Amino acid sequence: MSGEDRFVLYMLAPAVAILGLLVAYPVGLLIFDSFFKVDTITPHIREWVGLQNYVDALTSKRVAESALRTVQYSVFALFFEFTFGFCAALLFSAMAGDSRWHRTVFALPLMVPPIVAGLLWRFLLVGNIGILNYGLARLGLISDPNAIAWLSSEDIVIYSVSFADIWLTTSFVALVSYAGLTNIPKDLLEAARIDGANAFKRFWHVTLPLMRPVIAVIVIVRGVDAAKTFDLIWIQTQGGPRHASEVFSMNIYQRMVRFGDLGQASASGTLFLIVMMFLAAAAYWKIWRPARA
Amino acid sequence: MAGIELRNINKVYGNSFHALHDMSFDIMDGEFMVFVGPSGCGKSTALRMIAGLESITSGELRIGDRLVNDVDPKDRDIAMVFQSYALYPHKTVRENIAFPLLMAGLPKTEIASRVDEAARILELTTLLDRRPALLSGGQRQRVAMGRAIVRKPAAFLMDEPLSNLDAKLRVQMRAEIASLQRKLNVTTIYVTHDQVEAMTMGDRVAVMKGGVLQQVDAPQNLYNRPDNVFVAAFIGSPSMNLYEAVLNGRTLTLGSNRFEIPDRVFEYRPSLNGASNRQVIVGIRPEHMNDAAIRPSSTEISAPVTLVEALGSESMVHLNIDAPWVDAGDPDAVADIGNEKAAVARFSSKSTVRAGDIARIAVDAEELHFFEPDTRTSIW
Amino acid sequence: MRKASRLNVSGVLINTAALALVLSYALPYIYLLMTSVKPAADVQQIPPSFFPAVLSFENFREVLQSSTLPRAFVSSLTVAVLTTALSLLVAVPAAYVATRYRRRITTLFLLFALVTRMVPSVALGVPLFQLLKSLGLLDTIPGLVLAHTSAAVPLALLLMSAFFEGVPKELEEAARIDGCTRFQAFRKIVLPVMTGGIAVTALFTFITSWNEFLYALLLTSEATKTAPIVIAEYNSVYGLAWGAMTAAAVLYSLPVIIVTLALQKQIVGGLTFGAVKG
Repeated sequence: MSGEDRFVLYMLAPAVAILGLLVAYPVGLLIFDSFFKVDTITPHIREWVGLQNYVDALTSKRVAESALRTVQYSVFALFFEFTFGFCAALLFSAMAGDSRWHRTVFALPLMVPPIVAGLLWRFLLVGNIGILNYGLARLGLISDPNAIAWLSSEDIVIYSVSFADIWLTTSFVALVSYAGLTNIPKDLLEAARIDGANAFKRFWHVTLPLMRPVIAVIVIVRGVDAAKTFDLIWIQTQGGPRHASEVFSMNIYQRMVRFGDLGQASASGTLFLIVMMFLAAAAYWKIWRPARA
Repeated sequence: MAGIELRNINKVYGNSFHALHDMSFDIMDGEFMVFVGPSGCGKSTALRMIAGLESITSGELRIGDRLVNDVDPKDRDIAMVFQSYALYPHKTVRENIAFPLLMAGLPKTEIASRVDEAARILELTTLLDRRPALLSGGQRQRVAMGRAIVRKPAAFLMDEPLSNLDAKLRVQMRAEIASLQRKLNVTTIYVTHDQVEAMTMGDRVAVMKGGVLQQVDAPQNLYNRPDNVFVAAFIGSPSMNLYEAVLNGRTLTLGSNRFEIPDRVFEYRPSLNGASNRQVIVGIRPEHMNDAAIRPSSTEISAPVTLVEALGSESMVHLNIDAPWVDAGDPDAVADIGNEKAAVARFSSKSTVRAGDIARIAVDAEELHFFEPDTRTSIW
Repeated sequence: MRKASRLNVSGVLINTAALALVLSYALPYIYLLMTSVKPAADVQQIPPSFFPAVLSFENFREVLQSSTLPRAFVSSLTVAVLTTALSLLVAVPAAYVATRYRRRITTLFLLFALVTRMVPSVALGVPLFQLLKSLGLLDTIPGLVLAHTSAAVPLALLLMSAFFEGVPKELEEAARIDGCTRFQAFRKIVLPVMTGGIAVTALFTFITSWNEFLYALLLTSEATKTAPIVIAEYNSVYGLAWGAMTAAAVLYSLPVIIVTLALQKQIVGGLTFGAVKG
């Protein structure tokens, strides 16, 4: 082994050890557990059941519903985060240097812990003391402050809990997009302008294609994070009312802690991992790759 | 202070790109050796292999009789000046220059005196406490040199150190580097793509192309006795004009021109004797062609003029010689528009030829070069 | 002159839109601040008011005098600092070789790090629980630090890789010719140049640990309770103590905001990758 190879190995070793011990091993354990019928409190007592846990997970109505809710939540949140964030970035880049103060303040939500954000929005939305409804009523947008039961209506709660997420991460999307936008060489836009393209056409044909890698990163990172969300929703509703805001990660928690079914929870966890990897790869192929062609 | 030996050096990269082919030559102790060639010729790779920054796939490298193939750069006793200078941005000029001495573990007093000496030689004394970011390009270049000379190494390696400077500064620094090397008498390897730098600075020059060594010789020899077509065209600016011609006895047929070759040529190129309709490549340097009306010669050809570039001191006259033109194989050379490669001649500024005229060209036939058409090597 | 008048119309529009956007985003946090300084009784009044009728620090007093929150803050701080230190120690060298010395193993390694980000913490919770239990590290600071590090290292790797790309490799080559081993070149030349990038990474690692809720919930109980857990506990069987909770939340979010604003210059510098051309 050359001196260089040895150097690489030594520098890599601590990270490999930590990730191996703290991630690879637990993931391995997770997949291993998914093939057993085992209780959370007595993990040494186990019975091999092959793919039974997977079958149970895939056929369970509650699991399917939580999966659906995860999709609803993620798509809703990602859509608004992306739209607001990207528009904010466009606004900031139009303002160029003047936007520094704006960007700093806009970054404020990034520094708020998710727990705090969750509780804050709960405070804003909750039944009779939530100030949002009062504000909307004052503006005349709703008839009376109790018209919308953000967190207690089974139909809309899954969307209501995403407000906090949108508030938290629009800043992230805005700042990353802004960085991407400033990296677009001005000459390209000027050349397009001389070639006769108006502002919209320039955006569509020059800016957007060049932003592909950035957009791909945002979609992959935020998409996966949205699907993984636990703290934010938990602190607002604990999954209620009546499971209407229970997303997949919370379903896994329930299964593991409340029902004590470690095998099933592990199977769900493994399924989640597989789907995430697949989606990330898809996003990479579809959004990032074509830009390099 | 040591000589450097390359023996059958090969470099193949992981993706099977063969960068250097079987290179063998010596660099003498105290010599200023220039590696020159077009981009991609392997000159930087060769330099980096001598430095130890690239591994040697096969062959032997010796610095001062020591086999150094597997020796770390820090143990080869060499100093290097990079094209981008690679100054440590977080250190002052003084700290930059002192760094190698610090790493060698020299006592503080010795380090201080050596740094001051180097700063004095390079006129950096007033800049010692500044950071690189606050220096001009020329100043940074000198700091990079200072970091190299302060070590008194066995050899200096320089990788295109002047490329990032503007033209005037480059000319000035060229002379300074050359005189500095003569004063310090340290073996130096200097890489450049500029053949003018190579000719003016080197004791000897190694011309490379496509990873293969073309010729190693003193500059004047490269000019007078190039081994092959590529070296002939690479050295000298504007390039030597190369055409296919036919030699019959003593008569050379060049397109529609026919003339006698003087006896002197056959004296130092004996293989040309007894030619019978022999295909050759003939090379004429621009400086060996002039306006026959002003400077007549026993050998005359004629050709239409396509362009005249008056420089004041002389005129570059582009001529359309109607013989098959030969591509010297320089990847960096650009053909004229229209795929016609015109010959270039250096006429006296008194010449009155204009584009469209048919010019009478006096050729210094004793300075003609001859090459084999298939191997493209010189015929001696 | 035409440019000035053009700016006036679209410029004003853009500025107003930006201002409106930014203010509406700051609004919820401002409301949190407002609420925390209301007298405890007013916090849950109906209808709710935005501004406090009278400034009062009762909520803060209540929260600071309780024994659980200050201790939890200390736990959170300790865990965050240790996590940052450990993560940097581990990730910085790894990111360096992954960027500089590309080979199959480093590409695989980076891909592996990327994939670890896609695992839901909930799923890793129980295996980690079992692991820490067998190591005797449940409900201890070191145990939680290990759990947080597992989440922070992939992020640190990604960030540091991006920063290392910005350093020209000639610097290390010059150092190696000047007498450094590869490691010395890394330590003496590359690291000092990277302070901005390391600062940014440290900040994000700190925030990741500081904000972390789930592992703290699963892997600790009384001894090492962190701040987020305590804040969540204000939601008890007796209902939600909103006043105290908002005060605790304000206190909890302050350190991060202060540190980020203080490091503004470092962060911007770090994000432009140190400008090492020379």
